[in-house]
Amino acid sequence: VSIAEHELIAGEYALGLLTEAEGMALEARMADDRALAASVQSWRERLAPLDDLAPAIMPSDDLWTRIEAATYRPDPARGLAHPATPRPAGAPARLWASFRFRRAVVGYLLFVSFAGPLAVAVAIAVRPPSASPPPASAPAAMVAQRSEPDLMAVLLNEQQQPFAVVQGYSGQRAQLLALNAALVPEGRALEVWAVVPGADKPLSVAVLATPSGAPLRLAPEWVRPDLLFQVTLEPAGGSPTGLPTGPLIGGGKLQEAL
Amino acid sequence: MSDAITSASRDALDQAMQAVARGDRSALRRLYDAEAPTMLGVATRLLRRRALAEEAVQDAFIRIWHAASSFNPERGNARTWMYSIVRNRALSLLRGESRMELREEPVDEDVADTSDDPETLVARLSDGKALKGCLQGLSPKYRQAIVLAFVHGLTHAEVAGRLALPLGTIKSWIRRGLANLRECLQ
Repeated sequence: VSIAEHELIAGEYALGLLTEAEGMALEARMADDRALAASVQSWRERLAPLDDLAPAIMPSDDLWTRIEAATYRPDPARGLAHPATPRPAGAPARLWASFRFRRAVVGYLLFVSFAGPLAVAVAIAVRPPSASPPPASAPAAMVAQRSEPDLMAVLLNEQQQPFAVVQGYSGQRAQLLALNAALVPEGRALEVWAVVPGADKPLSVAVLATPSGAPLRLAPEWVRPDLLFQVTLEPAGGSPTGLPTGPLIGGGKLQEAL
Repeated sequence: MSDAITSASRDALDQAMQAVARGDRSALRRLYDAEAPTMLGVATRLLRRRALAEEAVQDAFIRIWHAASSFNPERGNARTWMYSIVRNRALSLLRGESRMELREEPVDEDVADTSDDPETLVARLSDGKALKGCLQGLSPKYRQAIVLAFVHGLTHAEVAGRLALPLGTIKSWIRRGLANLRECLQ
C-alpha cells in the first residue's frame, strides 16, 4: 500500500506514539503545512470512535470548582460587553495601537496597583509614631529603586486579556509586578519561561505559587526589547522536567515602556 | 445515537466553543457537562490513576478556555479538538511520570478495565462505524498494536515489551497497519 510519509507520521502522532520532542516539532510544522494539519485532523476523526467507548466517569464534585477558579478573570463584565475578537496574525504592534487594548492595560494596572499603595498605607498607619530619623535602610532602598524601568511586558492569555505585568530595566534585571491571583489553582504553580534568542529551549525564570510579584532569573544582557515570556501551568514547585509540561496560559514580549 | 442527533450535538458543541472564545464561562460549563465524564474516561484509560486523570481533564479545560479563540470550526469539530487536548495532556502526564518517577500513587486496579483489551474494544465499536470494519480487516497483530497505543497510551517500546517482540517490528507493524487503515477508510 502506498501512502505519503506525512500521512504516516500524522497517524503516529494521532495515536500518541511520537515522543514529546517529535510531537512539538510536528506541531510546529503543522502551523505552516496545511496538508499535514489536515491529515492529523483526519486521523483524529477516524480514531474518535475508540474514545467514545471510554466509560463515562463522573468527575469529583470539586473538579469544576477548580476549573472555574483557574479561569477567573478580573473583570468579567468587560469580557462580555466587548467580546474578545480573534487575534489577527502578528498583532502585538497593532494591539498596542488599539485604544481599547491600552485602556484595558491601564485599567488592569490600576486594578493591580490598588492593593500595593493600600498595603503601604496600612503599614504606615500601624507604625508607632517615632521621633527618631528614618531607619538607615531607607536611603539604600531608594537608591536601588531609583532607576526607572524602561521596558514593560503585559502578558496576555489567548483571549488577549492581561493576566500579568513584567517591568524591565534594560541590561539589568526584570521583575514580575503582578499576577492575577486566581490563575493559580490550589496545589499548582505558574512557571514563567524566557525564550532567549539563540537558546535551544525556553529557560525557567520564575515559579509562582502565589499571586505575589517576583524577580525573574535573567542574565542582564537578556533584558532588552523583544525578549519573549511564556507562562505555563505546572505542578507545585514547577515543571518536573525543566521544560514546559503544562498548558500554556499566555505570554508577551518586553517592549519599550510608553 | 442516531446520526441526526450526533450532528445536532456536534453543532451545539461548536457553538458553545465559539461562545467560550468570546469569554462566556457558562458555555465552558456546557462543554464540561456534555464531555467531562467521557473525557475523564479517556484520561483514566490512559493514566490508570483517577487523581491524575482528573488533573488531565482540569488542565484540558483550562487550556480550552485559553485557546478557544484559536479553534477553527472549518478545520474540524470542537469535540475532536477537546479530545485531542485531553489526550495530549494525559500523555504528557503519563510520559513525564515514567521518566521522572515523580508519581508514587499505585495504579487503581478498579479503573484499569480488563474489558479494554483490543479485541473486545474493537468488537464493541458500533457496526455503523467504518473504523470497525477496517480495524477488523487488519491483520490481528497490526490491530492489536494500534489499539494498545491509542487506547492505553503505550509507546512503541511498551507495545514491543507487551507483545515480546523487537521494537523495529512493532514500528513497522504500526506503519503498515496505519497505511492499510488509511486505504480502507478513504
